[in-house]
Amino acid sequence: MSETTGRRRAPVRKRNKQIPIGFPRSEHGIVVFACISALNRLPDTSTENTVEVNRLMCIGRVNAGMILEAVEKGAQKVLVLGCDESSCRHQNGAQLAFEQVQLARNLFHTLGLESNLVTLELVSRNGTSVSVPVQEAGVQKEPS
Amino acid sequence: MNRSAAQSAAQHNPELLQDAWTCQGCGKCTAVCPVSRTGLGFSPRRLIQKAVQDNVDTVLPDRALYACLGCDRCTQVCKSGISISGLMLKLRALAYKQGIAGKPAHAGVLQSLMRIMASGSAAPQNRLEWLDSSLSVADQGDVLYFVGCAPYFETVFNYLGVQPLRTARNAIRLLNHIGIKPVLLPDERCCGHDLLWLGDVDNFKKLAERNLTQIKAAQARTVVFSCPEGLRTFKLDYPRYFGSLEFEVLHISEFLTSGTNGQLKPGALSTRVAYHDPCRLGRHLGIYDPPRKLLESIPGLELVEMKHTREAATCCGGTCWIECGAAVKSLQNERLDEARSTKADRLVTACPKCDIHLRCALVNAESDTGPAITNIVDLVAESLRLTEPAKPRKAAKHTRKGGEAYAG
Ligand code: SF4
Ligand code: SF4
Repeated sequence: MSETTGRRRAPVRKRNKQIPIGFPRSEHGIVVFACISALNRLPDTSTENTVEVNRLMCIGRVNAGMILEAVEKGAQKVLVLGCDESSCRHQNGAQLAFEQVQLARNLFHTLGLESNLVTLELVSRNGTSVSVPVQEAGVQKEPS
Repeated sequence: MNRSAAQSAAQHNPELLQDAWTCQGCGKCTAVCPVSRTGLGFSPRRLIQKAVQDNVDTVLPDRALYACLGCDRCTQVCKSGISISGLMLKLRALAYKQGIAGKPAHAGVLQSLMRIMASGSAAPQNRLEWLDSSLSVADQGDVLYFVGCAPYFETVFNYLGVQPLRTARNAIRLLNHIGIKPVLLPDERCCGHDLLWLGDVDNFKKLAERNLTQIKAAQARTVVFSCPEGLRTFKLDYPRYFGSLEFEVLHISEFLTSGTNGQLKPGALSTRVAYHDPCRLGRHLGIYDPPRKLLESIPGLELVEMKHTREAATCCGGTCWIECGAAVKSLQNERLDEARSTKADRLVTACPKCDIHLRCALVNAESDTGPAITNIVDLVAESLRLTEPAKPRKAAKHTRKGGEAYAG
């Protein structure tokens, strides 16, 4: 109690949302994995109630397991949203996300699901977001 | 089942701990357990005693429940005949029902795949894209080849340079070589092994039912596996839930050496190999000799044994994709050291997961020297000059995060 004069703590930010049981909560079954700084640069959108947004420190943190878990639990669309290469604070977030989205797409293809269940969008410095084409790599063919 | 229902089931289900009550607390299990030996604090004896003396509920949230590899080394030495891996299966199923089963390794990507396969919506898969015109397969017939999760492993573990689909192609080539056109199921599902060992019994049953229906429709009388986990699950777990199987199940090394199916005569290959017994094939099913017989039938091949072999073989550290930590890594490195000290050119295994795990350790090792890790099927196909060349071994560390961190 004696320390009330000490430095004030910064207000606690809202925690990242966990994917809850009974997921997805959103009406349309859209799940977003987004880098917080990319999200902050986007023009203000009030999508919170219709999509499930999972905030990540960097989009490089996303992995195929998260994407598949979302689909397993009923998501009809997964959007991976990060900063493009020139604006990623951690340098290679976009590349890492690309690899994971590609992995998820390969797996969806083998599972017989639509591989465009998951899409990758990267936001530039000025806040415009561009969809990145991700091709399945087709690792299953016999090397010739 | 909700939490309290599961709790009372634990307390009132004497079967759950039926075996465990005969534990004498001698500690033999802990003495031989490879995970305990790594010194990170896991003790099967303590876990059993806690379950019996305290309450089952006290062990359910314990992460130690998932440290067990299910390798069955302890079962061999227990004087009370307790199957600790069997008990783990029961406890994990209970924990899963209570929703406290923790997040598996590899960010759960493999378990998610399996659950999607178990759900009604996933069908039909594109799981046979890797077949080519040189491989003869049939839609119906006596012999069925169960491919297992190879098409998924190939994609997920591409970064390690493993080629489980090459093994699948070679298995078909070997069967073709002795005049057999195996049936392949276009919509085969995961056998459910890993979900069962995680405790997800409901999804395991869904997968099993789908496989059994399809095998029945294909009218197969013999199902051949190159994956020991699939074989174990069909042989030991499916009958527990669905009654005895209407077909015979065999590991490909048994099938190729049994003689009844036109015995295979491998070609010559001058090499020195050490054979690693996979837990599921060896201790779970007692199949030690057929793979050795197959290897010894290759003229010019010298088979050497590692320090721990057959019943005492150490594990590759595969925990059904649940744990990937320091204990597992140290087991893998230990096994690689044993293989190195035999001066073998290759470490031959019969399990795709041993291949993945040992290769992961090799890729992440400080010095990337060691025998080439080879699946037995690929080696035999190589001796007959049937196979495509293998990918060169990955020398550099994986660019993304490296094995353990990749586990998420
Ligand atoms: S070896 Fe068997 S009897 Fe001895 S402590 Fe372990 S489980 Fe109990
Ligand atoms: S099954 Fe293997 S890992 Fe599990 S407690 Fe027994 S010896 Fe240890």
